[in-house]
Amino acid sequence: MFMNTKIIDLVMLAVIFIVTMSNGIVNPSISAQTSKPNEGLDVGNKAPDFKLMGPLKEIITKSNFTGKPLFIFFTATYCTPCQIGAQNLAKYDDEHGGNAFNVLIEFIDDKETDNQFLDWKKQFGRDDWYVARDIDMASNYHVQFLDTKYVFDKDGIIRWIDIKPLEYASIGPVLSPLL
Amino acid sequence: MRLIEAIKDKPILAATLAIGMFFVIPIIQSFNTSLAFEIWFRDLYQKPLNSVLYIAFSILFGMFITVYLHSRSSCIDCKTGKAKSGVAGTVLGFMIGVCPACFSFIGFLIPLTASIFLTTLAPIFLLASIAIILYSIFRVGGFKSISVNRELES
Repeated sequence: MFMNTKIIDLVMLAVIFIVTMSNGIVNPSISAQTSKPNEGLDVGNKAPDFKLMGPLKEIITKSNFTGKPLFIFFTATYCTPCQIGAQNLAKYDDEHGGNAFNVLIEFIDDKETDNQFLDWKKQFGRDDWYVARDIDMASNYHVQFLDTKYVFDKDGIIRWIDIKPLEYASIGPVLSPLL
Repeated sequence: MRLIEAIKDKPILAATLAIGMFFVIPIIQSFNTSLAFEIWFRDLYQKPLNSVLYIAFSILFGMFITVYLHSRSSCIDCKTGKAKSGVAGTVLGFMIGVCPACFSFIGFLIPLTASIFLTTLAPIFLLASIAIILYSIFRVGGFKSISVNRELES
């Protein structure tokens, strides 16, 4: 009986470990280029259009961001890895004049309120960042985790997708070629 | 109580297991990101209810394994084979205890909306894990008085 329990323990720990490790291994942190910008969700594809409403009832569409790179963060206000990532992004934003690229924070928990989004932006983001909530966009972009990030170039082509917590050191290699 | 006796017998083991369980999430996560411990401590600070429950869960986990090992070696009447529920409680607390939607354990297995839902219920799952571990300690005889066990042994 003890052996059974021990085996179950080991199997469960192994499964947890493999699942966790595979996150790092299969993480789609890619920056490849493609020549055909077909619409899709892979790096090199033209990103699908979206239409969102911000907390101040402003309409936000993909075309708003044409001409500058766009960093999209799928998150929720309580997601701590996302908060740290946003602070790192804000630091990078400041160091590049605060106007070199756009940021869209896309909240995906429908129980959260507009005031929470605005508070979050004040605490972790910057005034000129866009915030909105739209569960459908998260679904259309196949978001599976909070902290999923997309980067579009100035033409709306997807250049980077990532699900790991955003470290400061990883922002420059992604954004600087697009600025 | 056998639980107390077990902890007195192996205090370092109990403490190591409790501390190990407490830090197991950031340790595993550190393979994936250098921000693992920063995320962990911020989570503890921002979610005090979850933090208190997770600390209690970790301490009970340390106690459970200690009394389980103690029972195997020195208790003839203890039901050491009935410890599977403790493993279930451990896995439940470990995987759903903090933020399933933020971390990757559950996110790979279920849709985002479901993991967000589970995140909101994390304190309930932690309470369930604590209850399961307490039940497992009971099953392995941890709450029995030492005199009863000694009478049985003699």
